Amino acid sequence: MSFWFTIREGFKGFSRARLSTTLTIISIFFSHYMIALFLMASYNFEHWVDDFRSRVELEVFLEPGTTDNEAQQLRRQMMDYKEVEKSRYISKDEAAARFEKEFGRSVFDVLQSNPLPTSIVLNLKPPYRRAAALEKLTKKLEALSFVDEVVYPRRVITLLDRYMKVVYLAGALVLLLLLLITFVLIYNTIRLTIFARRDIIEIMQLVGAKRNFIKRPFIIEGLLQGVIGASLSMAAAWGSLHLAQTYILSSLAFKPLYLLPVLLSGLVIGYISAGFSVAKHLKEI
Amino acid sequence: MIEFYNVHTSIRDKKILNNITFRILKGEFVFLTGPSGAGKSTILRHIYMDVLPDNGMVVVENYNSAKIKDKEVPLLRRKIGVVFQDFKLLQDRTVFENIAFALRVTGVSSRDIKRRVMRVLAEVNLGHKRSQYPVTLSGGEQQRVAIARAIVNNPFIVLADEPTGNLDAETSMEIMDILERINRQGTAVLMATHSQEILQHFPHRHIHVEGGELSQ
Repeated sequence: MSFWFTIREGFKGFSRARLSTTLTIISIFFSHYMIALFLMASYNFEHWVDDFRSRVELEVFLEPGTTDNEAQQLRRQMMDYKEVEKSRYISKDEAAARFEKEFGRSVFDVLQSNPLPTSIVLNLKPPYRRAAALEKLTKKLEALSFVDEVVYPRRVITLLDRYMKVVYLAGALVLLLLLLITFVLIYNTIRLTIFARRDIIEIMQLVGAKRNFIKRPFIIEGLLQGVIGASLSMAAAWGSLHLAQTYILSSLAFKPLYLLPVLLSGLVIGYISAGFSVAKHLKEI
Repeated sequence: MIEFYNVHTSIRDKKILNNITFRILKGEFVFLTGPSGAGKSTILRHIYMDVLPDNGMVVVENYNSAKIKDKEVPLLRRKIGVVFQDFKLLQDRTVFENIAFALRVTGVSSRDIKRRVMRVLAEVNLGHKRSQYPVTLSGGEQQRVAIARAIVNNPFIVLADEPTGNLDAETSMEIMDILERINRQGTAVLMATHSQEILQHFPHRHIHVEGGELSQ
């Protein structure tokens, strides 16, 4: 009984402050559309970065004179490390073949002998493809006997890590700002609705409605504004993704489930801002 | 049933009530008189605990202003009916809905609501206007709707704040007749009024307030 009353009154709030409600929903739509686009962009960006990281190899050069047997034993030892996903042994002959492939000339033509060291190439598991983990692993590997030097694209990885941090921080700040704007908008709309409906609130208080009962329709209204705005933004973002896939970059990807945080954000921000607004402004009636 | 003990009250630093002490018994009809701004409405607001005294205390049935918790106030108000000079009806709801509203917000079931609303509408002779909106009713009819809303919860007291203030003499008498009838059924009535005519016509006890002080 009181449930339907609450829902009905929540919807009535829409018609009581129609203009501000519409403007709020439009604003929530835009802020959440930006959030959805940001999620889609970061999803694709992360995929691209992960793909790049997966190609990063760590090459462990062995000391001259290390036998194939010793090298294979070392490789098996490395395979036991939690960081290592795959390993490959590069013998002197393979190193020479690689040289020829890369430089177009045989190492024997240039130097008459093969001075190239043997090495073990390691591919790492995803969590260890970052600068700090690579650095730690390098130290561990360099301490092993027969290991001469460990080489990987250190500078690129360090820069990548640093820029990813900046990108995420900037993104988080923008998201926070958008959420703050949404909060203020819903807070204000609920305030207007409360004042537009002070006659009904006054009567509710007079006839003995409990405080939570009076609050509920306004909270429902905030929730509805949040959910409607967020749902519209999800639909628009999904449409935008399809357009971008068709006309700009077909490799763009995204999962609809990953838009759930947008809906949750609308719901939570609607609930919180309406809750704050009601708590503050109901006292003024 | 209602007792004021040495009540002192200020609102926004302005002294409104000064050492008010009186008692209203079960089923009594009492007029609260005094010039505008004397503190009559504030006395009524103390009874439904919309205002609490700075000093002294107000006891209404089992509720004491000095001890009442915020969450108990709605429970007290369900036992009190309040009628105002400006009716305070919801203009976007029918007569029926206006009265039903008082029951709906306190969680009464739909079937009970219909039965109880029809009963009080019959008491104020407005059953035939239940589907109309307040704007289509006369002032007297609107006040009867407000009275019906005030009594639909079977209160032990009806507080009427100048209920005839906006009505002509004849309509005022109709409203008084309804309040008298309610009182005869056992509900106490405390009515704030200026009207000498009403005071002369209905010989009930007066509580006179002037400048925030009492002279019975």
